[in-house]
Amino acid sequence: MPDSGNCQQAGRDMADKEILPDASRNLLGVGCPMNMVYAKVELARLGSGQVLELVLDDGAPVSNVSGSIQKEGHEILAKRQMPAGGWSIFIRKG
Amino acid sequence: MFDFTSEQLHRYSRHILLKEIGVEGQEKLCRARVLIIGAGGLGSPVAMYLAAAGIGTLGIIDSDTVELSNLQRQILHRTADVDRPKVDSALETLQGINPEINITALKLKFRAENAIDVLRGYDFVVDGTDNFAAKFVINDACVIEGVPFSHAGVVGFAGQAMTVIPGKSTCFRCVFPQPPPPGSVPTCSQAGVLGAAAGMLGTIQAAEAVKYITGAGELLLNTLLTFDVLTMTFRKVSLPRQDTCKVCGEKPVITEPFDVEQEECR
Repeated sequence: MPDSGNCQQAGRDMADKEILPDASRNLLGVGCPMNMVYAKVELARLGSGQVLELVLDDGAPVSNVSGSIQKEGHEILAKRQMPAGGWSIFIRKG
Repeated sequence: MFDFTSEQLHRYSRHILLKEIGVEGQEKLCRARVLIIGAGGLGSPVAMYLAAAGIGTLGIIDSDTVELSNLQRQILHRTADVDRPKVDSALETLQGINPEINITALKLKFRAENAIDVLRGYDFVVDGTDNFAAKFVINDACVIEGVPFSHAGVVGFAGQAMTVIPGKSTCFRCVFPQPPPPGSVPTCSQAGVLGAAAGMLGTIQAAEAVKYITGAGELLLNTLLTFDVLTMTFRKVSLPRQDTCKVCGEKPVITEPFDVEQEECR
């Protein structure tokens, strides 16, 4: 996982902060690139500054979707590794 | 917000993934109305790409029937379509590519007398014709009605394209004030045309239509793109708008489209 170090760091930084997302979508089991398509659909429904939580599989899904979302001008607030596998990421819409 | 079905999200996923298009851009495409004039060498790739892109309403107008000599470049049509109206085979091909769009197929020649009626209500027009006479009618009708359009022409291995937003950018008549005299310019039936060159140009026109509708990138405004396939040379020539243009200038004298006599190409 290329950015797992950063993910864990971000996860630790935000671990004690409660983030209440405006919308949430479970994308476990949804591969690339459709996971990003669904992420964009969810983001399109939100206003600037609102927060979306996505749950993504380990590996390429969390790495690719996080990178693409940042390239599109949104902010990753936190990434948290889920106990049962996968990642929960919190995105503030740009 | 447009409610895409799961099937639509899959169908249009590669557009939605593009930052410059995204969900919002695909919604615009699905609501757009585009008229393609000519179901030939240019109109074929234009119509196929725009149908695939999910353009909500696609109009296609052509009065011809499919000939064997068309098949080398007019990829909407199949060998079994010879002698059928081009709009019929076009409709079949386009519905096969994307059954969820509305297609209006008109077996009609685009002429001055019907030009305004035909193009009214469309957001964008694509000139896929192969003769100067039609290109002037399209330019004048679009300028008068204020409908943006893509101009293109292809002969041999060479092509050119320009996008026109009436009242804002150079129109075809700013560049060519009047059609050349009949017989002075070879049409494709006389000069031959590389099928793939028509395909390249039609693809450029389809891209311009998508860019106009979604607002992505920069259009070929005030700019004529020319290319020569033999050397694969592409050039952009800046062409300023003309105040003296007879249709889009300060004192327009052309207030309705008119036909000029021109030898026609099949």
